[in-house]
Amino acid sequence: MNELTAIESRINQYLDAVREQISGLSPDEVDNIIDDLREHIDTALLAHGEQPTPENVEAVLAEMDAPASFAPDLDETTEVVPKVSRTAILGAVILPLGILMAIVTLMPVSSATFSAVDGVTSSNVPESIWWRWPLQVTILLLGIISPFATTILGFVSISQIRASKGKLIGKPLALIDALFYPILVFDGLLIAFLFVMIAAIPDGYLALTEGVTMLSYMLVIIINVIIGVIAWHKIR
Amino acid sequence: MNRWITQLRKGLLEYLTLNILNQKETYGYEIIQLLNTFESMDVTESTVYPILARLNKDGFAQVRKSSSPDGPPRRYYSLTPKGKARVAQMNQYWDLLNQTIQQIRSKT
Repeated sequence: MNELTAIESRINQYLDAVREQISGLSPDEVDNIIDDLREHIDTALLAHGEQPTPENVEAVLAEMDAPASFAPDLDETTEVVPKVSRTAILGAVILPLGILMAIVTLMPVSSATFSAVDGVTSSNVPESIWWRWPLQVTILLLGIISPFATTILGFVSISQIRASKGKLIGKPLALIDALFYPILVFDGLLIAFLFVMIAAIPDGYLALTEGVTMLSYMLVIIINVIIGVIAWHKIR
Repeated sequence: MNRWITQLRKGLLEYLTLNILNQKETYGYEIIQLLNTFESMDVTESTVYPILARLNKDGFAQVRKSSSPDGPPRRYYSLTPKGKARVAQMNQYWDLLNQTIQQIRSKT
């Protein structure tokens, strides 16, 4: 009885040592490996004789790999599951703040709106309104940072994704981050330029003005698509 | 043992294990014995059992426990439909790879 206990204890000692080496694997994998090893030891013990003895157990374990050999090389054994670039996601989260800033700052809510018309001064701003100022200041600050941060994060995430050798994905998102504000600025300048040209059309040429305006919008859209396609092919 | 041979064997082991399981349902100990009958292969339990566990985890192989008349209860591995599809895919790629190697070797 004592001999059997000693045998079991020695086998468990080996299995525990292996278990420790493979603890980084999933519980199912660990259980599978340990069960296979137990079966392996029992099969090998049978080859040494009908009844296992402590000497046979030592002989079998000596023939087997040392527990340290089971330590997995994660680079080789784990199939890499690509993850969406966090930098690209962060850029996409910050991106709308610039637009939000534009919307909020254009909202016709200011003390001037009330003071003259309703007799509201800085000391008696209505309760429903006072919180708008800190909110606007916060959104203003975030909104000013947003175009720069989004663009920088976009370019950083593109280079990270390219350097990751397939471990990171999300190039389309990164490209949107990188190009959204630069294209917005470019579009603004282009539209302004086209409007100056349209303004130069003499009065009375309504059809021509409408036609040129429509063409201008189409030109802006086409240029945007071309920039997007070229950029996409560059980073692929 | 040259390091490149060890690396090459490691890479091949999963492919060979899948092919063995594609032929018949078998247990880990037998897979080791079978692979070691080939001179070019020298495998041990620390390489084969983690592969079997991973194949099981990834859904390529399934385990069935069964008592054995001439030994301890066995854990029989067999391929799932997903595993069979993977073997077919790997065999196809292996043929292509082999063809490429032959072409390159005949040109040099």
